[in-house]
Amino acid sequence: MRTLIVAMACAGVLALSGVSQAAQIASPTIYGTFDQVLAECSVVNGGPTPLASVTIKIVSEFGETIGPMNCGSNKTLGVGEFCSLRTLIDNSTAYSCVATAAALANFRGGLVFHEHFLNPGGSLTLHPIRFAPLR
Amino acid sequence: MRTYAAGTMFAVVLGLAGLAQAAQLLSPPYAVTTRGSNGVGTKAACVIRNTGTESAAVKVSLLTSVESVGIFDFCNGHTLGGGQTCLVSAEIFQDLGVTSYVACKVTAPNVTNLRGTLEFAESPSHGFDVYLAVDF
Repeated sequence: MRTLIVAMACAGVLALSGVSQAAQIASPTIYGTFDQVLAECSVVNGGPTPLASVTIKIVSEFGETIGPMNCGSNKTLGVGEFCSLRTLIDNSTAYSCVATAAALANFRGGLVFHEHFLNPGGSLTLHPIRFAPLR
Repeated sequence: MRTYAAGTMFAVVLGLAGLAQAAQLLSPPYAVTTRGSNGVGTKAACVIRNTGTESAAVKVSLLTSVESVGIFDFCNGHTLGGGQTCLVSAEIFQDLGVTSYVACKVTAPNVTNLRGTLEFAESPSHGFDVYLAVDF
């Protein structure tokens, strides 16, 4: 019986240590159009508890890395909180996004490319041209 | 010692039961930018379909980083029958030039047969035009 309890305790410790390590989700490498000017990769913690070890980076098809950026306070994203990395991008390059978190069950991410849009009033805004989820 | 072991097993069973209570379907987040000047905003809609044959009590919410005001809610407080679709929508308020973030969260006893789409349209709307949709 004592051996069984010790074994169960060891299994519990191993399980907890596995949870504390950062896992990752990533988007495919995507390209929008020649008009793409800005990429934004956002993540959300949809779970009932704060999420640790949250980082975001954007990687070009040539290996250039923007980030990683730490999210929240001390890399911890609160319940229902969002975090994003936004950067200007080259109009002839494809990019992907990689995000890390201590647990992935309630962690989601999305990468969107925007183009400039000239409104009838003359103001410039951003419109989405391509979106890819992180998984 | 036997009591301790029994207590441990009881705790494990309780933990597993807790995990099995409610499942969650969560969309990727979308970064909503200002659509245009002259008061052009964004409406977000979370559309949930039950692809199964059995009814499901679903709880659907739009997670937003900014203030939002609900428009329609045909999901919460109702049972979603097999083959049926429901919708929750909201007006997303944002300041000019500021990005806001939106995701859709669905909880139900079982989400295996649930499918979701997070849709964005301009407000005021041009018919039912959707400028971006995210399936989950």
